[in-house]
Amino acid sequence: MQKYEKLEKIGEGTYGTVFKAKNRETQEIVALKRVRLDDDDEGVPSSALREICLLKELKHRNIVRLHDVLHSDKKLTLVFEYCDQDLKKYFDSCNGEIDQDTVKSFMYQLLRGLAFCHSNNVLHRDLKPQNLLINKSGELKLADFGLARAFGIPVRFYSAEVVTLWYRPPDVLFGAKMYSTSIDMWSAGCIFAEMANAGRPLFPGNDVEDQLKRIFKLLGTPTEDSWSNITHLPDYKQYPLYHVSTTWPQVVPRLNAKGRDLLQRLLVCNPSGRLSAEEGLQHGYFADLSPSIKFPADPF
Amino acid sequence: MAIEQVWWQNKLAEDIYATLKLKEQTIPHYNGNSSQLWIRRHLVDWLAVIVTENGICATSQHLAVYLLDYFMDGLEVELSYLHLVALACLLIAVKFEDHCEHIPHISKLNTYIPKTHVCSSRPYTPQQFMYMELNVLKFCSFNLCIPTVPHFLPYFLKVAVDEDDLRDGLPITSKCVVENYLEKHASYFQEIVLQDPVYRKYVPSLVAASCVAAARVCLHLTPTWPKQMELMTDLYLEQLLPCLQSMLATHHQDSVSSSCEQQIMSTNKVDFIHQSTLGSYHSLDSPYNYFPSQTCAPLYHSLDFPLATNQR
Repeated sequence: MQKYEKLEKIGEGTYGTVFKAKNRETQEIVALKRVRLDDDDEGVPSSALREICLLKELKHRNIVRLHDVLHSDKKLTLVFEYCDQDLKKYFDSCNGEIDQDTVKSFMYQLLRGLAFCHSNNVLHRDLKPQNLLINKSGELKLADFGLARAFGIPVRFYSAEVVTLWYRPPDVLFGAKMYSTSIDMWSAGCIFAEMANAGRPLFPGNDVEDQLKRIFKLLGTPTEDSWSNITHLPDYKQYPLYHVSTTWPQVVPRLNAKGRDLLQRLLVCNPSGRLSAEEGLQHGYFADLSPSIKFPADPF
Repeated sequence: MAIEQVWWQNKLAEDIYATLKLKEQTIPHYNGNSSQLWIRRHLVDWLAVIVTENGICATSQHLAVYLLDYFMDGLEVELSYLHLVALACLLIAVKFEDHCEHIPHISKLNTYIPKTHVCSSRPYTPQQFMYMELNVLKFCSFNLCIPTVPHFLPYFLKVAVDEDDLRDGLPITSKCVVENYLEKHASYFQEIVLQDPVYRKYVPSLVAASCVAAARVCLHLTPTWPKQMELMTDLYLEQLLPCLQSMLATHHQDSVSSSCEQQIMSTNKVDFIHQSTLGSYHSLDSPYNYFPSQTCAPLYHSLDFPLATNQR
């Protein structure tokens, strides 16, 4: 690659290796995601194809910017803006302590990026700390759109095998194939709690059953009353009616009352009851957020 | 599951509709002056067979034909590669729109190459597929977020039948039955708009709305364009007319030629492509058996169909 000088390997994405690199001409630091194109494969991998086509559409300060796509004989190279770390690594560097103003700022930016995706008919479907990038100025950006897809009306969906287990909502865990933007809102709620606790995951389940148990122990087991037609979901199974013994201040001790309210409105088992990203941004929790984060001079 | 019952009424559906309407305004102009337009119909019908046999969704099919049209509009392709272009367009569209498990294998796609094709003795290699995919992607600048007719039609169909509708001037007896047939007719129209590039003149939402109107005309439902359709689509009947008339004319030709082809088919001289595309149409004749008050009327009488108004 002539145009870019590779500096170091950053990691492995869902479908390719990521390098930190420098544009030889402009000295700009970028991230290069390399996708190998093998002759014995079935053409361009669909995850790379979706990521390129969707990110081309999504130009926003809270979504990682795709600068360019380069094609050489045996590979495609996606040129992204460079961010210093992802939220997971950020947590690791926190040593269990996180500033609650930072939590508020990150959560606001996460919701703003999501609201932009959703209003452009794009579902991310794989939100987790590893896929949220943080740069030096404290900006948060949604990344890794390999599982994302454009949706139409109706939002009729296919694979229930989306979203990493810990961040997967109960409807999808029960095999719902028809989901909408609410799928990302659940993940956003889980990430919110994890941020407030400086990186301790909220529902670290081992398998689908364990995952649902952990959720129901905290939120109560949903019934036909709280969630009509739940029993008709493809993989529905009856779970014990857990007695909810943990209070929210116990779950997220450092989060203030307004923050807990927002969290509870995101972590709703019934997908139709979950707050939307746009509604989340209007929540009172963000009332005292610094205007420089709320109203950046250049929103894109 | 609430979403499955009332999704078309919620704010999100309205937002998505507004975004899709904005996006369709950015669809580039289609010139329709490729010197290879004569083979377009063959390629589109051929893709339709692959789509049907592999359970590929309508959204992928429409995106594939969109990609093919613009590629052919901009580039002249060596004849021996046209089928490869069409298959690459289909592969890209399925990868973008459909279930992962619906992505057809290259080896399977090769089996559809017509026996008379110059390359039939040598299948396209995976490398050729890959290069052609990349060519198409580069040609469209990786822009696959294109609204097509099937993005709109299911949304419109949700309010396409009303309990107050009249059929031949009489109240309808079962909304559900009528909905069922309206949906079949509308998907038939959704299919035939691929056959003629003339429909590239109109934005996809208008074509989708015209599919509903044409289906209502065929089913003798009045008014042709009810108030609730006008409200949902933001389109007036007057705006649909040019597209609607082309559709009904195409349908008329189709039913005339299909009755001829049926005779030919009985002598087994028509290749599989025609049988398949027509097959989906003939199955639509049956609705008339379900309206006992009607004698079996032909699907469509003449071009000067009654234009009912919204006043009741």
